[in-house]
Order: sequence, then C-alpha cells, then structure tokens
Amino acid sequence: MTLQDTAMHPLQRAGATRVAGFVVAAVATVVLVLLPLWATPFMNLQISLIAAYAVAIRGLGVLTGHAGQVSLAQSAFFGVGAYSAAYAVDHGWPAAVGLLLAVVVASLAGVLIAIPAVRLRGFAFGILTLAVPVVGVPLANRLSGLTGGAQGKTAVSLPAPEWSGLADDQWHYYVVVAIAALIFLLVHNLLTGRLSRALDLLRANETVAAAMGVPVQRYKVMAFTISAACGGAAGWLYLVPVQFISPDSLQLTLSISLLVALVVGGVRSPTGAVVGAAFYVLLPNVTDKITPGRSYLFFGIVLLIVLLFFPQGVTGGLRSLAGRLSRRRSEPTTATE
Amino acid sequence: MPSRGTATRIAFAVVAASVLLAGCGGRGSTGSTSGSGSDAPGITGDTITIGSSYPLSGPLGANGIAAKGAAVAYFDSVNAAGGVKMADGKTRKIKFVFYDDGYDPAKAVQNYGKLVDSDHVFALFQTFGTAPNLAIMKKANADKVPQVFVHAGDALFSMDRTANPWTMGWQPTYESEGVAYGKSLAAQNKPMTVAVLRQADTLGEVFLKGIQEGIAGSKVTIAKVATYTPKDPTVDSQISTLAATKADALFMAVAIPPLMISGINHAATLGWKPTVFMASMSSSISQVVEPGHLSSYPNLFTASFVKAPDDPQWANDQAVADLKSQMQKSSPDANPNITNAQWGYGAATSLVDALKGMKTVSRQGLMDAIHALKSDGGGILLPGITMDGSDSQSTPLHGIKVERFTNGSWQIQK
Repeated sequence: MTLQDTAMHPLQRAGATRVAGFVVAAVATVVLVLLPLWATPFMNLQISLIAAYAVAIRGLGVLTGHAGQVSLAQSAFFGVGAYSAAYAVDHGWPAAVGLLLAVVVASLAGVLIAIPAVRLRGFAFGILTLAVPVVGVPLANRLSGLTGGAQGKTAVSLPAPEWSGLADDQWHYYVVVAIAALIFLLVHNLLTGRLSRALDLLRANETVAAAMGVPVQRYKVMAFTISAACGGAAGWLYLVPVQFISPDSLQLTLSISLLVALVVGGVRSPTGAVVGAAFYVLLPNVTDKITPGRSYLFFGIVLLIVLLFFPQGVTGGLRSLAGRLSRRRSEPTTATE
Repeated sequence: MPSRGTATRIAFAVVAASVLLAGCGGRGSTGSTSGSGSDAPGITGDTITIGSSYPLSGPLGANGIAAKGAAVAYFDSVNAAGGVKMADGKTRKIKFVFYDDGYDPAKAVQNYGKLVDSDHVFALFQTFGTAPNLAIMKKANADKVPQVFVHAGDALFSMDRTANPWTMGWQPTYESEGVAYGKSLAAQNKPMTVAVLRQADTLGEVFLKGIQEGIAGSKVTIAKVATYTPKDPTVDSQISTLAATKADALFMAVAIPPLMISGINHAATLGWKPTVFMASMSSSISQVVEPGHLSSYPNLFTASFVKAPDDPQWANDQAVADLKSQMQKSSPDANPNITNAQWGYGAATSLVDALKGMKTVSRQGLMDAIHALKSDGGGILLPGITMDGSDSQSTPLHGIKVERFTNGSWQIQK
C-alpha cells in the first residue's frame, strides 16, 4: 500500500469528516425540534429529564473528569437548585429569575464548600463531598418552612403560552432542551485555553502542576463552582417537567448514579454526559419490565462492563472503534483523528 | 462538538434511536388526555387494565411488596373465578400493571406518565405513600384519571372533592386514629399527661392533631411533643427528652417499625414505662411486638380496622385464611403480616366491589360507583368498621378500633 493508492488526501478526509459532522448535527437538531410534536407526554418528560440530568452530569464532569476530583456532592447542588426554583415559583417570580436564583445559590454553596474542601486531596476530598448530601437531606427534611419538609413541594410553572399552540409537556421540553443546550455551549466555551490546560495538568499530577506555578487551589475552586452551578441549573431544569421536589429525590444514591452515568458516558465528553443521562433515565424503563425494582443492580452490571471493556466510557469506546475502522482504510502510519 | 467526528455521530444516532424506541406510540393515542368523552381507555371486551406505583426497592421495599402482593393475590383469585361481571354484561379479567418508584415522588410522576401514556390504564389504584401521591394528584386530576384508594392515611386525598374529584383515599385517616387514642385516655376521667413522638411531616402532624382533638375538654394534657424523620437511625434522644416529663402515656406516632421498637425499649431502659399507643402501621405482632420483645410491656395499645393474620384470635377466620392462601399462591415473596398487605387486600376487595357497581363502564362511572359504596365491613375488616363512599369530606372507611395487647393478641377495647 502506498500513499498514491489511498482514495483521499488526509486533509480532504478531515474536511469531509467535518462536513459530515455538521450534517449529522443538523439532522439531529431537526429531529430534536420536531420530536415533541409527535411524541407522547411521557416521552417528552423522559427527554426533558435526560436533558436536565445531562447538565448535572456535564457539570460533574468538569470537576471529576477534567479536574480529576471525584465528587459525591452533585445531588446536593441539584437539590439546592430545585428548591431555589420551587421557592421562586412559590413567590410568583418569573421563571428566568428562578433559574438565576438556582444557579447563584448553588454556586455560592459550591464556593463555600470548595474553599475548605480543596485543601484535601483525592480520597479525603471525596469523603468530604460525601458529607454534603448526607447532611443536606436531613436538613431539607427539618427546614420545612423553606423546603416543605419531608412532604416536599409542588411547583407548577411555565404553562405553555397561548400563542404557541403547544401542550404543557411540549413547551417544557423546548424550554428545558434549549436551556440545556445553551449550558453545554457555555461549558464548552469555559473549557478553553488556560482553564482547560490547567485542569488537565491538575488532573495528571497536582504536585507537578503546583511546581509549574499553576494556582492549584484556585482552579479547583473554579472547577467546583462550575460543577455546582451546573448542578443548580439542572435542578431548575428538572423541576420544570416534574413539578415536584422532595428530599426523597435527593438521596446520596443520586450522586452515585450521576457518577456512574458520567463514567459510563465518558468522563470528559459532552456527548458522554448526554449518553450517561439517557442511560440513567431509560435503563429502568427496560429493566423494570423484566424485574421491577432492580434497576440499581443493572446500573452496577453496566458499570462493571464499561469499566472492564471501555474504561473511557461509551463515547471513548466508540471513538476507539471508529479510529480502528478508519485506520484499516488508510496506510499504517497515518492517524485519522 | 461537530468536529469530534465519528464518535459523536454514532452517539447522537444511538441516543436518538433509543429515545424514539423507548417511547413508541404517538400523540393523541387513546388515554393520553381524556375528557368525559373518551369513555374507556384501558378497557377491552374482556380485560380492564389497572395501574399502580409502589416502592418495591429501598427502605420501604418490603411494605410496597406487601401491598402490591396482596392486591395481586386478590386480583388473581377474582380472575381465576372468571373475572369481574360489569354493568354492560361483560365479564372482564383484571390486568394489573405496576412499577417501582423507590418512594421517590419524581419516579412516581414518571411511572404515572408511563401508566397513562404507554400502558393506557383505566385507573390508578393504591398508589403508595403520601409524597408520591401528592406528586401525582395534580396531574391525575388535570388528566381526569381516577387515582383511587390511595395507600396513604392522609385526609387531604379525600377531603376536597371539588379540587380533586378523581382522587380518593380508602383507609381511615391517621387523624381519626389519633382521635381514638385521645378519647380512650379522656374516658378515664382523671388528670393525665401524654408525651408524643411524631414524624416531622404531615403524617405526624395529623396524628398529633387527632390526639389533641380526642383529649379536648378533658383532664388530659399534652406534656411534650418530639419529632423524628423517617431516615433517622435512632429516636433515643427524643425519647430521653420525653422521659424527662414522666408523662403517664406515650403516643408513638412512629411509622417506622425499627424506630418503634428501639424507642419503646429505650424508654424502658430509662425506667419509664408509660401507657404506650403504637401507630397502627408499626404495631404488627410478628413484625414489631415480638421481635422487639415488647410483649412484657404493661400497657400496650394500638388501633386497627383490619384483621391481622399473625394475631391468634383470627386463626379460624375465613377472610384471613383466604388472604394467607391467596398470597402464598400468587405473591410468595410478599409478607402478609405486614400491615400494608392487609390494607392492600382490603382495598383490592373494595376496588372489585366498585368495578361491579359501575353503572356505566367509564372513568366517571368508577368514581360514581365508589361514592355509592356502602357496606358494613366484613371480610378482612374488623367487625364494626363501615364503608361509606358518599361522605364528601372523608375517606370511605369509618371507624377504627382501639386494641390492647393481651395474652399475645390485640384485643378490641369497647
């Protein structure tokens, strides 16, 4: 096989890949826009939930995937966001104010926890983040004036406006998916340049990063805050279709599930966050038909399979699969990615 | 994202495909929104589909499995005998579809969506727990889907027929249970104090309200109230606080059996042995009294409206024998001695009675039939308990009997 035998010049191939990528993205967008008009309210609810959890998982990915700090606190920020959203609904504030409140309160909580937490490393940091939901849930139960206590709070908001001609569940879908997409874009823009490189260094080896002059604590706090802000936004997004929040929805198991979903999807991949969220929301639908109540068992099994065979997660696995397929078509020395 | 290439493409495609497959069915198919016109989703010539959501995993898993198992057992026995004969002359078998919500109200909401949009159920039956039912109630009433015989003792499911015409409880409220305890104390006509340990939510609030109502105007006063939350590992400190009052009676409005056991035992270790009233859902002989070694306690009371299979006084009762044998056959993994099983079984018999009593085979017809239900108990209900679905501000079952633990059995007090 010589260079002349290959069908396309490598640069042409890269260009073709980009065009194909745009086409697929365009098709996917069209599908997403038209889907709720045809889908049942239940499907729209599921997709809205996937979008909400994807934001939470992407946020967790910034802290755990990019900065390398394993955190079990994401369910607490999710809860703070959802309760802030419910608070805003109770007081009749506009939805946008509720979203802002959710993000701001969660970010503040994130900073407050991050400042002491980032002095710890690895395992100790993880244990401290574990304490957050463990303390947070009983707190939510007790502060019933604020949270409605163990009964929870109903928060009906964002009815579909007259001019749209849409049903509530369709309107909620559009609002949630659009805002989730915007948040993904924001995170993508945040993770460029210096921040991204610093987090990579931090993840690889904290001591070396510090020795190279990277302000490790500051970047850890930054990553933690971005993660918490995403968690808070996800809580707001979740409340829109579900319209109910209670401490039962915020148990430690949610943090663990988000982490599992992150690993299954791919810890640094935005697509992976969506895949992980889809896995978390849709898997129980399938397994409950076979054996109700055992969805966590299947989460565990899938996690094991992923860790054993695709440690980079589903997206990482697909990427290496795609890489291997492309490599077979070209000469051995040319990499296609 | 577009420039990440093949992986993104495949992932997008997989997610889109799985989402499409996961839903199936389009909008506007029968039952997704119903008005009085869409007469009978979930009904065919020979089947009627009923749906529910239970905690089948997590801390209340055993309770959910017990309630579900009892309903399944009764429905199986009805189906085996041919089915339910309805007003239009057709006899239909019951198809019971249920999902796990782990007591998470958000999952209950999703299950509601699945049951109504995908499974096209005729009605929701015995959805379990106050918070999950609260989460579902708004949607069910907006969609005009019956949410009947909810497995929760909170009055608000039955109180407001104008706001929530499609929702209905079944069992006597926890408030009425508190009233019964209060009245039994008041009847002794001497100055007494009672300490209360209650759950820190509406369930606990209504228990407290009940006992306050029961002792109103009498010589009994409340010494102190302490609260706990369901996820607390222990109530020892609350019991210590209450013990300091040296009250004559202790109302353990505790819905969690392990906490009931540890709380009462802790009181004993502190040398305080008041008259104890045990909340009905955690007073089972085989699940609580015996394992907790409480049978030597001098004055144990509870209240009930159903016959417990583990109570020796009902050993020869036909309804109890039926419950045991049917559950053994259909739901061997469910425990008939858990109170939720007895409530579940009773509610299932009421549902079948209501289905038989429908004048028109429609969702509205079901609600009308429930409001017309009247009986003098019988079956699994204790003697003297009556059913009256027409009371617009109360659950259908009326009456609850205070019982005292005597010689290994809960004896009904006059």
